[in-house]
Amino acid sequence: MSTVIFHALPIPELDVSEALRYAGCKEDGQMLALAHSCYDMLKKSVAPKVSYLTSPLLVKGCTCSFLDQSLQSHRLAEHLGKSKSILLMALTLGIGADRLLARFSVEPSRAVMLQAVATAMLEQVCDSFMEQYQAQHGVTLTSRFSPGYGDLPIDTQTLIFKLLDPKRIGLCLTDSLIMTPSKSVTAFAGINQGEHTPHCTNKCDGCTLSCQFRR
Amino acid sequence: MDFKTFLNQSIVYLDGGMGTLLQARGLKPGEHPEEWNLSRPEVICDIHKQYFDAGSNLVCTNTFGANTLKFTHERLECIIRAAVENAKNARAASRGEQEKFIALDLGPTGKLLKPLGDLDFEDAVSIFAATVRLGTKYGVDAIVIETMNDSYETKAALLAAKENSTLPVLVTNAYDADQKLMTGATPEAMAALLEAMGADAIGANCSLGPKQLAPIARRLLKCASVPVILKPNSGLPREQDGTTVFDVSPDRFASELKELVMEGLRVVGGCCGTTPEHIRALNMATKALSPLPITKKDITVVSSYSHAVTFSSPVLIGERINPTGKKRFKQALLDNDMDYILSQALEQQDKRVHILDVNVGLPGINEADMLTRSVCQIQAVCDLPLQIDTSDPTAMESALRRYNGKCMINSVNGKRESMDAVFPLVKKYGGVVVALTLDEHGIPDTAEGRVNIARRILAEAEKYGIDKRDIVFDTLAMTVSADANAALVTLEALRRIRCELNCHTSLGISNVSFGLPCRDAVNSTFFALALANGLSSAIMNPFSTEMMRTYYCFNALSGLDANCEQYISVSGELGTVSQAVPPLNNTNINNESISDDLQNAIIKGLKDKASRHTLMMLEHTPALDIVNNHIIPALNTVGKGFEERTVYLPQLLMSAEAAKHAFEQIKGHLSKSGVSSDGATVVLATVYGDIHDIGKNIVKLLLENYGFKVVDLGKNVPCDDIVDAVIAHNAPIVGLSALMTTTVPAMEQAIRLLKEKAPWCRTVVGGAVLTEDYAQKIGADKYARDAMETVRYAQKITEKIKNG
Repeated sequence: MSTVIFHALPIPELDVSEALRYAGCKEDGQMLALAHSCYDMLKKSVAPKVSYLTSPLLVKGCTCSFLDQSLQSHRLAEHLGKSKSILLMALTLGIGADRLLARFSVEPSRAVMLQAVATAMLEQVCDSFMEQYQAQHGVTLTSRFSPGYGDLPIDTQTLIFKLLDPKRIGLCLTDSLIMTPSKSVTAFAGINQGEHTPHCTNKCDGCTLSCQFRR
Repeated sequence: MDFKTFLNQSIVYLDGGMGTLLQARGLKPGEHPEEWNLSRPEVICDIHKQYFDAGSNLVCTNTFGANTLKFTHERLECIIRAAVENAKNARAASRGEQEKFIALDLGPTGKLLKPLGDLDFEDAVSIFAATVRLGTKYGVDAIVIETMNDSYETKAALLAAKENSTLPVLVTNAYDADQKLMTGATPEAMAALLEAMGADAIGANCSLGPKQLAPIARRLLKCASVPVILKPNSGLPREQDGTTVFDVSPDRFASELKELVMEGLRVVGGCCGTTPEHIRALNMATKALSPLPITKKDITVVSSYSHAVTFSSPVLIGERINPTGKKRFKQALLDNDMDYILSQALEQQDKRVHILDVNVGLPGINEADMLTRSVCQIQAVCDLPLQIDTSDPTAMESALRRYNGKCMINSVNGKRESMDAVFPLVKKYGGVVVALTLDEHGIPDTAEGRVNIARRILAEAEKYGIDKRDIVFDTLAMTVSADANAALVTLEALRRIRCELNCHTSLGISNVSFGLPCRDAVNSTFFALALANGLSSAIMNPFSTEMMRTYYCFNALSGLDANCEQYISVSGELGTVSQAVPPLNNTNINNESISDDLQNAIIKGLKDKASRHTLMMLEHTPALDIVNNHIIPALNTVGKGFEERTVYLPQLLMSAEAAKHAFEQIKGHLSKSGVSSDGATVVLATVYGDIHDIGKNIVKLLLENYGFKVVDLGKNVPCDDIVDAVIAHNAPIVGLSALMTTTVPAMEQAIRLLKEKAPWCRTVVGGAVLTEDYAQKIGADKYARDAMETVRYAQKITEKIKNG
C-alpha cells in the first residue's frame, strides 16, 4: 500500500556560481557580496520540506499507469520507460522565501538576487533529497520530470496535488495552476533497481528548448 | 450538560487519528475521506464508536476537508448530514459512560490566502461559513478548527464560526519544529489573535509527537486565559517499506501527555497515527487527576502574523504613517502611491519601533478602502503589529476584519456615540483599544475629570465583555505653550490611571511641543516624565534621536535592560543629535563636484549618498536641472551599460533605486513648493491569475526613473480593473506581465478588452513565457524583452504623441 510521506529537509550551503548564473551575473565583488547577503537572509527564512510517495508503474506506449491513474505523455513515458516503479514528489522552500521577496518588492535589486539564490537553493534541495533517497533505498532514480516539460501538460499538477495532498507541507495550487509558495517543485522520477553510482550529467541534456539559462 | 460547561469543569478527552485509520482500511491516495461518510458509513461510524468506547468526550466528524472548494453545495450538504449522523449513531451505540459530544471538524481549505496565494480572505470566510452553517443545522455540539498552519486562514475560519453559530469553538494549529506556524506565527501570537476573537479553547495538533509539542503547550499555558488543547501525532512520521509509521506507543503517548495535564493542559487527544488505544491509555493515565483551574493572565498583548508584543516594558508606536502636517504624505495618498507608505513602514521598522500607527484619513479619499489596502499591503512586507488609527467606524471595521493578528485600535473615547460604535468592533474582531479621556463635554482640565471618564469607559467596556487589559488609556498630551499646566494634568491623570485603575496607558507625545522651538528637546523630556509616571506606550517619531535616547536610557535606568545590553548596542546611533538628513562633512565642495558625486552615487547604486547630494544641490540648483543634467545622464550611462551587457540586472536596479532616492528628495522639495511632475501615465499590472510581480516591479522602478507616472495595479488584476484604470487616467500606455502559460489567456483577454474600450492605449507585454511571436498572436502592440526596452518604447510613444 502506498502512503504519502512528508518531512523537513536540511538547508543546503550556498551554491554561489549557480545563483549568479540565475541572476545573469558574472563573479564580481559587488554581486558576490549581494548573493552572500541574500543567502544569509534566506537561510533564516526558509524551511524546506518534501512530500512524496512511491508506486508500481506500468508504461505502455505513451501511457504511464500508477495508483489507479494514467497519464498520456510520450516524453514522460520515454523518460520513465525502463522503470518498474515511480517516485512522485513535491518539495518546497516554504513561505519564508516569498515573504522575503515581498519585503523587498520595493527594492528589486535585492529581490532579483533573492530570487536567484532561492532558485539555486531549491534545485539543491531537490537534488540532495533524491541522492538521499537513492542511498537509503539502494536504487537509482532517473532525473526529475515535471508538469509542463515536453508534452506533459501543466494541469498534471491537479493530479499530483490530489495524490500528494501537499498542503501538509504548506504547498498549495492556485486556480491558474501556480504553486504557492513559489519556490516549489513537483516532479516524477523513475525508480530503477541497483546501486546508484554518482556521475555528473548535464541537467539540460534532456531538454530540447533553447533558453538563456541553458548549460 | 452543554459542552461549554463541561469544558470549563473537566479534563476533556478528544478522539485520535482518522485519516491514518482510513488508510489502513483501504482509503487510497487522492480519494476524499469525506466521501466515506456516504459510501462506507459503517467504517466511519465504527471508528467514532471505538473512540467513544475508549473514553473520548468529544469526537470530531469526518469533515476535515468538507468544503465548497472540493464539493458542490448539494454534495457538501449530503456529506455533512451523513457525517453528523455517523457520529450520532456511534454515540448512541457506544457503551462509554462519560459525557459524549460531537464536534464539526474544520480543516484548512488547501489554498494559500492572498497576498502570497490566490484565495481572498472573504472567500475563505465564505467557504468555512458554508460548512459551519451545515454542521450547525445538523446538530453538532461544538466546532473544532484544526491543523491550520496559517494564522490568516485560522482567523477566517474562526470568524466564519463566530458569525454563523453560537457553538463553542476549539482551535488548534499545526506548528513546525521551530515552534512557529508555517506562515510564521508563534504560540503567543496565535493565543493573542484567537482569544481576542473569542475562541473557547486553543492549542496545537498534528505535525509532531507529544514530546516535541510539549514546549508549545507550555508556552500556551503561560499566556492563555482559556483552556489549552494538545492533540499530537503518535511521534514523527517515518517511512518504512513505502508506508508511514509512527513510533510512539499508547503508553508512552499517555505518560508524556499526563505530565502536561498535571501542568494545566485541559483538552487532550491525538492526531495522525494515534488510535483508540492511545486515547484509552491517555484516559486511564489521567482520569484520576483533577483539572487545574483556568487562570486569567493579566497581560496586554497585540500581535502580527508572526509575533506578539506584550506591554511589559514601554512600547514604541511609530507615528510616521499619517498625513497630518505632511505634504509629501498627502500627495502620496492622493496619487495612491503605496510604495511611499510601505517605505515609511520599513524605515520605522529599521528604527526598531514595536508597532506602527496607520492613519491614512484625508478628505477626498475613500478612507475605508485606503486604510484596508494600506493595512494589507503593509502586512505583506512588514511583520510589525499595527495600530489602526481612524475615527470612521466603517473604515475601522473594514481594516480590523482584514488585519492578520490582534491589532491596536486608535481610538475610542468617553462619548456615547464613540463607545456604541467602537466597542462592538473590539469585541467581535479583538484588539487593544486606545481610549481617549474625553467625552461630550470635551477634555477635562483636571486629572480627576480625566480619571473619571476612564472609569466610565471601563464600566461601559465591561458590559461588552471587553477586559480592561485590552484598554489602554490616552490622557491626552496638550500643548504646553498654550497652557502652562497642560503637561502636569496629563501626567497626573496618567499616574492615577496606572496606579488606581491598574490600566495601561498611551500618549501621542509630539502634541506637547506645538508652537515651541527645539521641539525634540521638549518632546523627549516630556516622554521621560511620562515614562516615570507609568506610561506604557508612546506614539512617537522614531527618527528623533532624542526620543530614542530617552527610551533606551529609561529602560537602562528602570531595570528593564539587563547589563544595559540594549543601551550599549544602540549607543552608536544615539551619539549624534538627530537631523532629518545627516550633513556631509565636506561643506566646501563646489556645485560641480557635488553633481559629479550625485552621478557617481547613482552609477554605483549608493542610495543614501544620492539622497544627500540631491538635498544639498536643491539649495541652489533648480530641481529640473538636477534631473536633466545629473540624474538622467547617470541613468543613461547605466542603462546603456545594461543594454551592452557590461552592467548586470541587479546593478542596473541598484542604480535605479539610488535614482529613486534622489527623486524622492526632489518630490519632497516640489510638494513643498506645490509643483508636481507631469510625465505621461503608464498603467502596470500582472494579469489575472498570476501572482508573480518581480518583473512588473522592475519595470515600474525604471519607468519612474525616466519620469513616467506609474499607476501600479499590483498582481492578479482582473481585466476590468485594468481597463477602468486606463480610462480613468487616460493612459497612453499599459504594461502587462504574465509568467505562466496558464495566465497568458487572461493577458489576451485584457488586450482585447482594451482595444475595444480604450483603443488609444498601446499595450506592451513581458514575462517569462512571452516571446515576440506569442505577443503578436495575442494582439499586443509591443513585446519588451526587459525593463529597459519597455522604457525605450514608452519614450518612443510619448514622443510620438507630443509631436502629434
